[in-house]
Amino acid sequence: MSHAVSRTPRFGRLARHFLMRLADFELVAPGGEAHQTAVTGMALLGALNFVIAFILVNREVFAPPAFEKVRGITILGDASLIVALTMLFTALAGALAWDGFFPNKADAMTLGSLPLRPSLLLNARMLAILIYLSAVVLSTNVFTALVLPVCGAPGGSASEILRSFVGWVMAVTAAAATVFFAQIAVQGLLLAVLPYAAYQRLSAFLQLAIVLGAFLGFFLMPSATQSLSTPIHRGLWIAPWWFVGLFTSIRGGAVALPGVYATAGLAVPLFAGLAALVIYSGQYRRILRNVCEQSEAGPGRSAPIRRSVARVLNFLLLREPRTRAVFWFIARTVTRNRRHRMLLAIAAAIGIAWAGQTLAQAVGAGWAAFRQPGAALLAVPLELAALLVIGLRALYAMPVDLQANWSFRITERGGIRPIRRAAVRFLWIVAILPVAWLPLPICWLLWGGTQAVFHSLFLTLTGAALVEVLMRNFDKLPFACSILPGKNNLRVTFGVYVILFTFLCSFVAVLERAMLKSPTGMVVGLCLPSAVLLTMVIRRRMQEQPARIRFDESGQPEFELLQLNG
Amino acid sequence: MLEIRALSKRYSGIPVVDGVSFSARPGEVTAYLGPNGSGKSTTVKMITGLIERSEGEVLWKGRPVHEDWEAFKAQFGYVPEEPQLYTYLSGEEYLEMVALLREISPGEAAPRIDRFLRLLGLHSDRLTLMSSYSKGMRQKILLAAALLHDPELLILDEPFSGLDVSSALILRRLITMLAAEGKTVLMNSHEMETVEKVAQRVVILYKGKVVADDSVEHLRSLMSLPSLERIFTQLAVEQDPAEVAAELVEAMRR
Repeated sequence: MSHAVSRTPRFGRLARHFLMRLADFELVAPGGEAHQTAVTGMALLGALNFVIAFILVNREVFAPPAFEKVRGITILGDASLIVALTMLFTALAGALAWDGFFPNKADAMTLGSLPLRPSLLLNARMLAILIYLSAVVLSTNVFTALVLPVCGAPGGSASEILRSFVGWVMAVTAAAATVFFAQIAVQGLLLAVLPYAAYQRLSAFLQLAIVLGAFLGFFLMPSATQSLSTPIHRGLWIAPWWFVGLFTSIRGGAVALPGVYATAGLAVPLFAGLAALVIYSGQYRRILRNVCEQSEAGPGRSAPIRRSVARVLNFLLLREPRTRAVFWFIARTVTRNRRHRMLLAIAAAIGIAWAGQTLAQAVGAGWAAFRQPGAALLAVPLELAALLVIGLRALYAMPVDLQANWSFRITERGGIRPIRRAAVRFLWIVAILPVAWLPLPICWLLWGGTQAVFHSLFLTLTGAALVEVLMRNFDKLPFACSILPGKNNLRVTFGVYVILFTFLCSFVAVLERAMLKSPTGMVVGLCLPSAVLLTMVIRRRMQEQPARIRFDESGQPEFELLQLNG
Repeated sequence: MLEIRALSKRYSGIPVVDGVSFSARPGEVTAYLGPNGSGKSTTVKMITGLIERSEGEVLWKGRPVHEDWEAFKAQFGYVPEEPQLYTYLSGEEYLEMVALLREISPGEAAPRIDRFLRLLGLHSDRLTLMSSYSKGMRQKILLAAALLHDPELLILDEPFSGLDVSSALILRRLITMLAAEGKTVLMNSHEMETVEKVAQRVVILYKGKVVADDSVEHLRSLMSLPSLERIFTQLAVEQDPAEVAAELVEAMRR
């Protein structure tokens, strides 16, 4: 009895510690404070879910009588969208918490020296993982779980609504569990078969693949309304349909997916959960025992191609030493820092998925759509470049290891100019030039040389103007300067810029299509952005003071944090 | 010569460093000593420009450093108290970055970095991320970064921290040699024995104020005490070490 009493507080404390480790990222809360991260993250997901629930209720209340005939089909579409969203956010939550699932060196060093049984640690960690998963599922479905089962119940009786509710809760839980447990199982398998350094290197790529796959899956997924006319052997490849099938099977009613989907919707999460449990409990103790002896991944000797590219860049664009130092510092921070890498991956994944969706629609309309540079096609690279540039610009403001910035402070020389130059050139090399010039051969084949070259030039100029706009008051060293909480509320500014530039991209694409129609239009199309760009550069140069780098943020915040979560 | 004149730092009106004045001469090692929280590192951070001073002046070669921070920063090498580094860089990458920031050409920097890494026993770990470096390895990287540009002034804040015996002996010898070459060395350390061996001049700080500023020999004869450790204990240690140790043992059991 006394043993149980002494064990419970330790178990609770450990579970809480592991839960905070899973939520230990600064993506949604300033400073990465875990409690605030959890509250803010859940609030953001809940807010999105509230909007969806509101739209559903609004439609039900104001639906015309004719809607009754298509209600069943429409609910399938709604259900597949919410299931896909649940899978997307669970995949993202899993990728973000990736490093918190299994023990690392810090765990082994701190907890390994304490008199704690491995089983206590394992159980506490598993509880933390389950709580984390539950929090994601709950916040992604809190409002729709109440609305959709009522709207989707085949009749109005209490038992039918209850069955619909149970079916729906099972469906979204199974969808989330599949994605989440599959990630843990894959991670455990990798840890079992690979040396630790190789695992670390591969897991960085795997996290990016998960983020990209989740967004591509979401944007490219056909609605479950098509499942009724799709052959089962093809439909079974679309995971969200399994769970919509599970929902309709439990709920009953006339509009339901074939039972085989429901079977998959039950079997796959069970299999994923079981595999995760076996692999996780098998690997946990081994890792806790061995992790201290494992050597960590280093950058290693660069591959010859990478070295050659670096040499060319250094020669062509990075001759000034400070510009070169900051450029490579930016590159290494973006690729090696987990938080920054994930944020950039999310921005790129949204852009790529968006582009993928547009291309898929064009393919659906027939290959002839590619023969003409339509506005939708022209907008794809613009949107991708805009998302990358805005994402990177937001990242520049997010500090990494702020206390290490003394290295820059004591070597400060030449003011902000070389720093700004490096930051701008990085945006060019990563976000503008590849998007503008890599598709050139394909565009050349499809549209002919003149139009293809114009398209690349136009994209370059527009991208340069975008970079100029976003970097106009830049007086910091990327990742090495403090931010005042609230002054740079990145969640707000990032969202505002994404929405603004997405609209702008569509408008610019329509403009470009008009210009592509005649040689005069193309000349105007090159002169106009050149003139805008030139004006912006001249204005900046005239205004520019010999400024010092602003390492420390000061002044009044633009957004005041209300700290409602205490 | 580095001159510190009436340097003060206050946080919310509370003085942390209070009117500190001393000088560090070329060809000498000046040790800047004091118990934890006495304001040593704050003074060093004000000298290097990492934090703003509340009052006072720092002069290098007779000119106030705040008139041209960049020129002053180009002339000193600094090892900070804590090995705060960008740990997702390898040791070699970090040194390359510092060399570029110091505007040393890559052709000149590469062989110098390679040599530093070999001499400090880090060559085999040069491509390993610094996150897996031990404290001593990070300290060596900091030392290499401070020496890369052959500075005239060396500001070393706890440079022996984390170093093994042989590395500490090398560093001790290095400091003596650099001072003999005519460089100015300002050093913080808690290692009294080492300080006694390498420093020509000692400045002792207690509660933000200078309580002693003299050569080690003169202090010894003045205070009639046999060692620097005894002098330091007399001037800057409030508690009786034996008494506190005994109380700690007692606290473990109650």
